Amino acid sequence: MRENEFSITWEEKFAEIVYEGGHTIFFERFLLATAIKSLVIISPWISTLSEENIRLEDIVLTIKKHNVPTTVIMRNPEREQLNIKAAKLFRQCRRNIDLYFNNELHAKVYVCRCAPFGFALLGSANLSGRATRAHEIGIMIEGKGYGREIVEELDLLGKEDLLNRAGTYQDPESKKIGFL
Amino acid sequence: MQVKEMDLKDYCCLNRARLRVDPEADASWFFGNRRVENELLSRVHNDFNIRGVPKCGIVGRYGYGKTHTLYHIKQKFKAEPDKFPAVSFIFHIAPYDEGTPGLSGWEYIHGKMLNAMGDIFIRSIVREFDKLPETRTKDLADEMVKVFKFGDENLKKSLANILSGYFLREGRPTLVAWKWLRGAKLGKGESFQDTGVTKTLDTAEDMVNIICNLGNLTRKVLAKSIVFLMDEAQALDEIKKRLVEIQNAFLRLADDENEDIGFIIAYTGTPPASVPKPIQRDDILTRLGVSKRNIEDAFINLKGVINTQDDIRDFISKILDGIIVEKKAQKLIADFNLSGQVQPKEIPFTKDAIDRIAEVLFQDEHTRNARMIIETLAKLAATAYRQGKETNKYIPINKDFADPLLRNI
Repeated sequence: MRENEFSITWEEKFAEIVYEGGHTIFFERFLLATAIKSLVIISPWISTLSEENIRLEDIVLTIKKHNVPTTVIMRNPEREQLNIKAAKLFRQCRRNIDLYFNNELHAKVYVCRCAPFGFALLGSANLSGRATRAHEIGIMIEGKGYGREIVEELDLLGKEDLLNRAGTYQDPESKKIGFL
Repeated sequence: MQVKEMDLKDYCCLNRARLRVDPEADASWFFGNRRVENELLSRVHNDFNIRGVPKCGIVGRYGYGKTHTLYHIKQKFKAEPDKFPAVSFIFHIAPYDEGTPGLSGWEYIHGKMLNAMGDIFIRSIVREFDKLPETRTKDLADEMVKVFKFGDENLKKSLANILSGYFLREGRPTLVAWKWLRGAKLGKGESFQDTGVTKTLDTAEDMVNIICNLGNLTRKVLAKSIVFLMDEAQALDEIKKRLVEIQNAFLRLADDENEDIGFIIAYTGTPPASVPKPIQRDDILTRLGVSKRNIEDAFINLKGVINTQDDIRDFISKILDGIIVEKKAQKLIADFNLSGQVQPKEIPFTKDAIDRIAEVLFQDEHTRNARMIIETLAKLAATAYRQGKETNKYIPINKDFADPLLRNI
């Protein structure tokens, strides 16, 4: 344990509590990021964020434009009406977005791997307009110092761990469409 | 000289009082990734060949150097007139506010354009026109009307009378003329009666026609176009009630028919919606040669100026190289026995400190920009200077010195 905050190095300040606007902070950085390797979005409920500064459409356009390999895990839109429009948007970009459903999902994790390492947001808020205004809390983790391991682990949570958990399955619609 | 007697300029061997970059005075500099500068200047140059004038923009977050880039373009126009045949005027669109009288509608932007051109410029083109061999012996206003391409005959004639009547010779107050040009209402006791005008400027279209006709006159006299460099165009996103009027004005300016008035808009936005609200219309975008899918071909994103950690390092080196007086630095290094610690072109920063600054600023997308880099260098230099002055000891900025100060970035 360090004696006082002044002895903490820049690398050790890898986590910050985000009290409001976590999504905006995360996705604004995503839109500005360079050399993006991947994006992971884990949220039970996802809306189009049509009333927000950064809309889901903006995020999907950036994914498409920069060919960002993306993994999205949410609850099945057939059971959760709120997810219908978002799923439709994701399906329009199926070349870059792998869409999965899990109806037991309750985690909310967002990970961007980019230069120099990446960053992640772990919190209580769904990626929905309502959640961006409700009392939510999150932790923004920078990929520096010990933060790197955490970002990497959260990244793997979305790309491997959750995908192999019981109850997770790929969007049947994208399977039908094949390689498009 | 002892450290306690030094000012910041001596301590950092600067060619200026403070460690900062002035967008206007240092306009010839464009540091960072050259690819973006080339992309931007190619678009501007191509626009001269395709549209007669540049009609495009730059986009980037706060601190990316948009204002500096506009001044850089202005400087390029001056330095390379054959390649960029234009006179340019910079103005800020902000603050646009429909709740405050005089700060909204096209008349507000039109007024900014006229103010940017100013009395001296308008006088100069009127006088140069008067000196042309083909117009010297004829009625000036009649000859001007022949040059104007925009608006009805009443508007052309009125503008010609205003210009020839008020701006040719010194001595006559031009306030009434300016009021007419701005489309303003006259005050008590004022009258357009003696000005020779048969039309007042009632609509945005009239105002656009006035500006385009001034462009025609400039082309005739100087063989150059007019390009407005519009800074802080994010203010256009505040447009609500006057949207249709302002969109139509931009549509007229964007139209192929207008070859003499160009615009380069600096806009703070996040891709992909990276153009101001009034321009987000297919009929305007197509006139700029793009669609919503490839907006970045017309609105060059400055994000790429500082794209890698090496770009930051390179930016720092070039800034320091531009503001440090090397001979002064060599003497200081010898006087304070700093040889081996700092290089004359990087004083008071050591190489490991510069590497550390680049590493820290590159971590977050919001800190990898020109303003944050300069701000960080200035903050470190000011702290070292203050501590050095207090202890009367020269303190070079190395990694250990910089680290605690960089911790919160």
